[in-house]
Amino acid sequence: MKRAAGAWLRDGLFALLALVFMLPLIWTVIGSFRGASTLRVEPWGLPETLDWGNYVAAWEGRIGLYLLNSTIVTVASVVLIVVLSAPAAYAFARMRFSGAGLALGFILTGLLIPAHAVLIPLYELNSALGVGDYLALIGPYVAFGLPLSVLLMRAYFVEVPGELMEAAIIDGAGHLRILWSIFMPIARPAVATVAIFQAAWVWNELPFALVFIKESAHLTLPVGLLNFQGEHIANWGAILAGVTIAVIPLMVLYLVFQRHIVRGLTAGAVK
Amino acid sequence: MRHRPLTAWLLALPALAVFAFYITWPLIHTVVLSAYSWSALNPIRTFEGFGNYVELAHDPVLRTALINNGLWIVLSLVFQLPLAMLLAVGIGSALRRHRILRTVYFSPLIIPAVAVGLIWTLFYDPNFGAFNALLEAVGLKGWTAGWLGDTKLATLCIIAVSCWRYTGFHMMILLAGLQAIPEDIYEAAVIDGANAWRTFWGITLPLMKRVVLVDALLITVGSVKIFDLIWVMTAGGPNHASEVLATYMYRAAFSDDRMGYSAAIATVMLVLTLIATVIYLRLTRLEEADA
Amino acid sequence: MRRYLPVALGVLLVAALTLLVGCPSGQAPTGTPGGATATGTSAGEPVELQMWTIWSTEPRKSALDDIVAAFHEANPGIRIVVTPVEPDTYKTRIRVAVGSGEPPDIFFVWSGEWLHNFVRGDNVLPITDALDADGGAWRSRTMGDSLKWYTFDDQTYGIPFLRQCTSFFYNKDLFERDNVQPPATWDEFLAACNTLKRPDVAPIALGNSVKWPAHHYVSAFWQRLMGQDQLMADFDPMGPGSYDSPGYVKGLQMFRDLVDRDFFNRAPNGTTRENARALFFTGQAAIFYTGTWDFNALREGGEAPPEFADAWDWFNFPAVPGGDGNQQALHGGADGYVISSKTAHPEAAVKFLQHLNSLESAQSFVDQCRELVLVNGSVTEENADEHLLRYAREVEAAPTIVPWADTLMARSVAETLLDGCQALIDASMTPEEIMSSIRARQAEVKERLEKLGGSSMEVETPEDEAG
Repeated sequence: MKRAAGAWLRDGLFALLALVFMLPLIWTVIGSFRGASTLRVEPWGLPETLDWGNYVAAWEGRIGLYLLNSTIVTVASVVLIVVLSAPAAYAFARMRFSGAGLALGFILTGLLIPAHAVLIPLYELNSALGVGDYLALIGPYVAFGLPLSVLLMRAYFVEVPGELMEAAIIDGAGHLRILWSIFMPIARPAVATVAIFQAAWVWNELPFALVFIKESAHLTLPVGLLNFQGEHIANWGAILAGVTIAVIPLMVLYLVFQRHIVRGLTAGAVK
Repeated sequence: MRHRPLTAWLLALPALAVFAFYITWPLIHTVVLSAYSWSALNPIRTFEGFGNYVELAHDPVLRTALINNGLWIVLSLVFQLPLAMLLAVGIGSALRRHRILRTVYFSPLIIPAVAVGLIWTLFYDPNFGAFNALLEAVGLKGWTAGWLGDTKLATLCIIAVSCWRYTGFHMMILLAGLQAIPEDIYEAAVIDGANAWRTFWGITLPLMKRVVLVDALLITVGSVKIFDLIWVMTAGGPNHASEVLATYMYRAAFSDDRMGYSAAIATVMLVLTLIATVIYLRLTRLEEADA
Repeated sequence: MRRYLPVALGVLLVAALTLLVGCPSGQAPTGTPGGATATGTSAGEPVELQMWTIWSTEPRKSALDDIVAAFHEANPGIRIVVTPVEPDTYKTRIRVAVGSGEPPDIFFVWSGEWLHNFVRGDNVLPITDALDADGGAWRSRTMGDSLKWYTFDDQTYGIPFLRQCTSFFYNKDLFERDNVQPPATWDEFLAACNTLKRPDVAPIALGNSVKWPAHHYVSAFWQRLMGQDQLMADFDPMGPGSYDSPGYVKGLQMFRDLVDRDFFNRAPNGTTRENARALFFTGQAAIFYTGTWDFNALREGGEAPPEFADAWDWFNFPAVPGGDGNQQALHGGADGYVISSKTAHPEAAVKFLQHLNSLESAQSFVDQCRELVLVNGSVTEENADEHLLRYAREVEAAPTIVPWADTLMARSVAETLLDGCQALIDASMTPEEIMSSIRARQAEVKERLEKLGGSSMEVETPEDEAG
């Protein structure tokens, strides 16, 4: 096909939109190299020199520790979400049993529930359980992650050809074996999608982290970043440096998984 | 195929149990607590029956919040859905190889909401902010405004940020639906001489109806639940002008110390999201795909 | 799936109703930590105390760490674990923690109604006896009458530590340029603003996106117009007052008058506090009504450019002629610390508060933070600069220091006032409308407290005599 003027125009439009979408992120990265006082008065200035001072300040503000905490909580939550939702999705997709629709409907109501609606009862629940800070977060994160994961994975499992499964059953394989060795490999895109969506959510989640974490050594990144904001003075340079650091792992994760993501959503959204 | 129901239940049980334990149970708790009135700092709770709901019915702030949530739903649908569609179609066809663009459009979602709010608050600042500076630079001084400080503009300003943040996410979902359409349908259309515009309305959109509806539901539910951006940017102000249900609920609990009232607002939110879902289910007849 | 959703919802509803019947208090019994544990025993594991503070940024964070380190050295049997929390989120976190019966042993409080709320729910340990021990040695260490804001029903519930006051900060260069003197009366203030106003200079910087800065004006007007006794009578929900004095509407009008005269920067409700401060130190505004907490941003090494470090000064809120209040009063709060009533180690906690409130700790805090600590003699020629020394003298000379209205009013009433101030700025409510919604809210609070009535704590806590 020829490349018409219209196509150039369209590409230009998309590039312009891309700039709009990227601008705040670019601004954040540039700002993370600037002094806090000039940042406020001249928001569009460029850094005078390549000053790593804000990153040093962020590091001294224990951003490394927050990064570690966020990683622990995110990885544990995402793994548990997948481990719990895969068998459920398998049962809902491939097994007919009484009450299946009811159970599915029950878990899908979770897509709709605002986190704030259960904030206080959850806090009391955590206190009654006496769990540590990590578990106090991971439990609710997993529960809130389940509905979307079950929905997406179930849609994928429905499409796995029945012959594969029957052959395995004749071979005497149990359901868990079938799930693990046949369904999971085929459903990799769905798993990737679940992983990236849930990771992005858990990584940035604020209300639960704000209220449930008791010890400052266990703070996750979003709450940790808030700590750079004092009662009357905020260290903006360090906040922007912290945001830049916080964004990098997710960006990498996204780039690694993005090949799978679109395929994963296809089945999930259409069915 | 025959399966023993017990096995199936055992497979589904862990997920169901965790869900019930961490979401359903606390949720019931919230609904129950909405019948009481108490302070977070005082263990004594007094029973109010439907008292909190009676008060809510006469609360002008709740009305503002409901109107704002409605505005969020309508404007998010009107702006995010077409824009996301435009990006998805653009990337899905001509820019198929432009993986990097896909990442760019998705990138706002991975910045923490708190940071997004802080950054845009700086852009909107009436005195030093980028928007007023830009408008003045291009000779539109009359268009400069107080933005987040303006009762009429505050909600619109935050909705704009939300569009910026979530359009990429919805693009991803639409893109998925788009890629599920078989190529040969398009090829046939091209042979028939249909232009891009007619192909979109005649083929793409009808085939994507279900995806679009799923996405519309996600946007609607997201607009009922919206909290973070508003909380960081205006906290519902000025004078409740940008208040929504979630911010009002949070305020009732943690600023006004009215825990029962807050639980009642949470229950209202829950009912609204359920209504949205029922409407959606009627529109899509999801059970057809389920059978 | 559709046909199952209503069923699922039905099950939820039935479950909810069942619970409604069987769940009167909604509170699971929480085990109280064993009160019998010996405190500060030298043998074995050290006693661990959790301490929550809002001092999450430097220099306050390190200053507190040093004080704690010194305490550990002197008391090897006790360990203080400090958790710094960002101030806005602190308000949420501490309420949830205390409300669910798992409070830290020692925690930060803002004085006034904020603390009173905790006291009403029996969440705070009185330390009156310790203050009065040894002939009141500890009590007499505390500067001025600030302990009175920590005292309810003759019991004192903690120690005030930092004294913060609001004043009009002004740009000396701009005042000199226009030949303006710091005004002593409100009429002089208005005249000064008229003179200072230029196309590129707003007379006053106001950043009201967080709602409370505008209320500081109203709070000061009310005090100047009506006096503190009248205010205390009205603020207490169970008190005799009813917000009927005409001074309330007048105070709101006097603030609105500043808006009408176009004395503020553009869109105060959309301006952050930080940006209002930036307008002030970049010379785009001549006056800034703020607290002494901004000393650190304005002095050398702060956010302001170095050349501004000597260009500012401050004056007290001008007198309002004809007002019934003390016209020399300062306006401010006293941030401090309290001990949880649930602590398992009250003696160890008291010991730490005594250490925190000692002259050595106070002086080292002043040395690092340049803020006024409420311990007699905390500010010296060695550890303070000109500004802080002068401020300390003013606090000591002040006839009385009146807390801001939002720290004294019941929480939801205060919120109504704060929202009302935002509404005044954009003229969406009149002063009369604001006062009538304040009265309505007050009536609600009163009704709620009465319902708690006898079974609750002593709800009626007559405020001690106001200055």
